[in-house]
Amino acid sequence: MKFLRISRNIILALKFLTIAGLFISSIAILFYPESIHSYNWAGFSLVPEDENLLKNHEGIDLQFKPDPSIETYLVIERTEVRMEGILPNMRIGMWAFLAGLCLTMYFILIQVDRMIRSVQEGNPFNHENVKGIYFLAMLLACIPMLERFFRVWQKHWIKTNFEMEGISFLNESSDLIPWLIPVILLVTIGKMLEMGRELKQEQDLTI
Amino acid sequence: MPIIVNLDVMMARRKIRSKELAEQIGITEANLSILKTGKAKAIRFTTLTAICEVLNCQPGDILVYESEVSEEELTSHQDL
Repeated sequence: MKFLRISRNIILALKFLTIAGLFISSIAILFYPESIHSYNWAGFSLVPEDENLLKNHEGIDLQFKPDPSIETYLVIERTEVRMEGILPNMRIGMWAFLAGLCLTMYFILIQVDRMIRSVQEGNPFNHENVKGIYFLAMLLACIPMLERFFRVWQKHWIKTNFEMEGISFLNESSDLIPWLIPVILLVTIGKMLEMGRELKQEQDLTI
Repeated sequence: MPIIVNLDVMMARRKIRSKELAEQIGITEANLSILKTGKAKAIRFTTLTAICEVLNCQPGDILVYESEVSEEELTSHQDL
């Protein structure tokens, strides 16, 4: 029970941080655009098509240090892209994205808090918890899909708006798998809660 | 469910009220109502024993099995 109380306090703190974060970020994005000048908007990798760029550069010492006679090098293959400067209409989009993210986070925290409270009250097997677990599973399943969609759109936008001579996008492997396990786990917990709810209902109706 | 609870019939025969019976068998009136209306999923042996003791009857007087198969279906089966 002490653990549950601590968990609820952590969730309360996270709720406060989410709202405070949204408030502060909103002010920064909407009124002080210079503060987000170097926002890491495009966090994907690019591969230079020029072979010379893939080899060790002169002037950058990346040789294996303990024994220089061993021909071992670190090769720079890709670079992170950062967009410097904010387009006029981008601020609104960024704010909308951030607001959506914070509100989703807040909603998740409310769901988790409600579940912990129901466990504290000794009634975890209820319909609300089952719905909450399925909702969280659905949300978790949606995140990688939305991310992928955003990346595709982002690449398309960069290709059409910037000159990319000698550079191509790296085909990143699908990152669905790490999300899949928590989703399966949550759905299983949801099923378990559903079964528990039925058993409890049966128990309640046993006279 | 094919099990019919005839508790209200037995109570009427013994001229006992719900409140009185609930008190004597040690369950709440709400639970007795669930039992009487057939909403109960199961009945404990202890509850059944208490009911039989108070109403001076057999379990069969309270619980009756009625098949869900209609009479027509039953006769057609017998004809075969």
